[in-house]
Amino acid sequence: MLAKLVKFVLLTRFSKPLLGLVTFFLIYDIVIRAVTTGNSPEFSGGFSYYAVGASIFFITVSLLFGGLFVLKSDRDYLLTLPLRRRELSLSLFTAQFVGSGITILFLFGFYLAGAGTLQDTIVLSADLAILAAVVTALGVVSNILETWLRAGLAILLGVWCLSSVLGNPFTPVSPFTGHLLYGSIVLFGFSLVVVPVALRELAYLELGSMRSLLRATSSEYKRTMSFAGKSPVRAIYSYHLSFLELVGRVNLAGSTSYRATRVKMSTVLIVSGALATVYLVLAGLSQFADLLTRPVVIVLPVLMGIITLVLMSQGTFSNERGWLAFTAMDPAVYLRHLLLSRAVSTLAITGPFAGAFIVLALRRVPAAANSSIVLLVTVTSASILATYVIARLGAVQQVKEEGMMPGQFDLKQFLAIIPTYIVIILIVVSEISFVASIIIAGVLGILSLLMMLSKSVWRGIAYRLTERGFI
Amino acid sequence: MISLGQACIEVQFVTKSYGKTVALDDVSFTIPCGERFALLGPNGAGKSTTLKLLVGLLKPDTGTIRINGYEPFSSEAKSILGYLPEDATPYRTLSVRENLEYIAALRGVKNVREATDKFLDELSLREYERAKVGKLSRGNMQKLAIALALIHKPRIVLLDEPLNYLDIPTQERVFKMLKSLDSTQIVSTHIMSIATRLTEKVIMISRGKVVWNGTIDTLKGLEQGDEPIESVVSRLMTNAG
Repeated sequence: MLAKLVKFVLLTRFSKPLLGLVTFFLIYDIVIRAVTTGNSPEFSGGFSYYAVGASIFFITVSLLFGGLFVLKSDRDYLLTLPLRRRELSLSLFTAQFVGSGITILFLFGFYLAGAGTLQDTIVLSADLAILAAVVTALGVVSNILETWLRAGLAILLGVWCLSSVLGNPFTPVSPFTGHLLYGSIVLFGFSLVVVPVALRELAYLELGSMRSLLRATSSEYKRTMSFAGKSPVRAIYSYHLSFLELVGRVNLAGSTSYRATRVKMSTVLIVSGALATVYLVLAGLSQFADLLTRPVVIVLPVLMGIITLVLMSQGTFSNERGWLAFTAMDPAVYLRHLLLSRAVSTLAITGPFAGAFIVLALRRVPAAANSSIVLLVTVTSASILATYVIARLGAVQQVKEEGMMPGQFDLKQFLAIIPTYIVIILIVVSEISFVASIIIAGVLGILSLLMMLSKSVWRGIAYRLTERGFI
Repeated sequence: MISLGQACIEVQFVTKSYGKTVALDDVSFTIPCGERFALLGPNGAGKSTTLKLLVGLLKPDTGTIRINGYEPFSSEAKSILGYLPEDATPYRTLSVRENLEYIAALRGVKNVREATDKFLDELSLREYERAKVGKLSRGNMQKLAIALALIHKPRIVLLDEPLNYLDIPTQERVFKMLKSLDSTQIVSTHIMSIATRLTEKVIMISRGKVVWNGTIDTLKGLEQGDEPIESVVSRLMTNAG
């Protein structure tokens, strides 16, 4: 019965081609690793920083924005069936794992690059599987925690894991800094705490997370916008420049969240401004400058590029309502201003960092000038192009119910990540050469401008979205 | 003002397919200004596709559609059309008032605040005006959706199952509101009592084709003995298939 239930739960959430591709990637990773065994470097500073950084990223994102791989039909049918709680829980956890935790396993080869011997490889493989289970579990546990508790725990966990870089062997990510024995024990112990909590939560889903998701109480906005007296175009900019809309989707760095929420633009600016200032002090002015500047100058634009692309390409349309906007005005005009306003709104995140890079460039930090060009022009232009590509592919889903998957996650949505990889490559190339950064920014800028000017392109997108069920 | 007798909606030889599935096959009908039509048909007949084509959200593969003489996607047509899809969801991240004001602004409504207040009161949404739409009950969301479809006083109103999720007092209020509108209306519904109360004429679609077109009175005239009107409609749809 368990096998049948797992199969049913997986196939109602993921298309067969998608599951096939995921399996292929995993096998590819393992084979590549097997072929390269013995040629890898031992644990080194650079590797450790990135492995720890990536782990902290997955752990905190999962805890902060975790979600559930549940469908509306689960609430109406699956959860009403007389199923054994243990089997239901394991099936749903498997789906969560495939949707979120597995992201870590895609980095199999990367993480294991630090393992020099076969013994290290075996232990690290087990650690990775446990880490993936932990990330999966944190995504579930996140649903039962208040926002402040999630944020607090994410900070605590982040700091705890970060201490591994300073030599602390007793953290869940210490296996990646050379402390295989103690780190593995701590990671295993940590999993014994969070995984059972997640399994229990999934076993009684309709009494816990689902109930909190579906409660009909009407929470209110303390601060609201007014559109009275505004022209149509001004209304669009007023909407998207007052708040940054965050619309989650499957597999967003391990998050399975389907939420549409908004954050005040001033709050975004304060947070990103503060972070950019801290970065500027650490990277450009402090004694850690040498340690942090070179790697982070390159990594930060890549991270910012991913965030911006996801915010734009998925978020732009996931909360869009064709029956309202496309019938109120020409979809081409609407979409043009929508994209532009959202591109500007994402500058609230990247802008302060671009400013920090300009200061670093003035202090002659290598690649800082390139990074500022990347953040201001390349990423912004690329996000507009990526939004078009993903909508054209029909790879975006409309969020209709809070916390619920809008439908099956298919290959198209997975392939929508391809533009992100292309942009990452372009960012890295830009970081290497200043001339390349200018050329790439110029080409992407012109392409996105031409695309924005074409009315037929955006009318076509409106029709495409409608045919894909966007209403 | 509506010029009675003049055709407000003209659909001629329209075909629309989704891949290999033919949703509408050579459909033609005309709706004179000021008249109210019910769009009836079984599930998957092509009713929703018809409304999406009329409102310009989809493009026909062949054939022509004119709204007051304009192409459905023209700004002239958009300014006089009001559309409510089935299971409509407004912007989830906006409040009830923000949704109304935003759409009113997009549509260029002159007195945005006044128009918003009118619908908040008429549909008893005042107490939810600051509420996040994502947290509204389905019934209140439907009330908001109706208000959003009508906020610009459209001269042509296209409604897909408008009374879904509404409680009986609200249904009565919406009946009254729709009856009082000086507009041409097409109401897509499965419920005959809604069709008979809101409209005078019927277009019946089955498997993408118009199978019957006439007045509700003529439809009632087809009743055999004590046969209810639903059975007449069912018979016509079945025979057409």
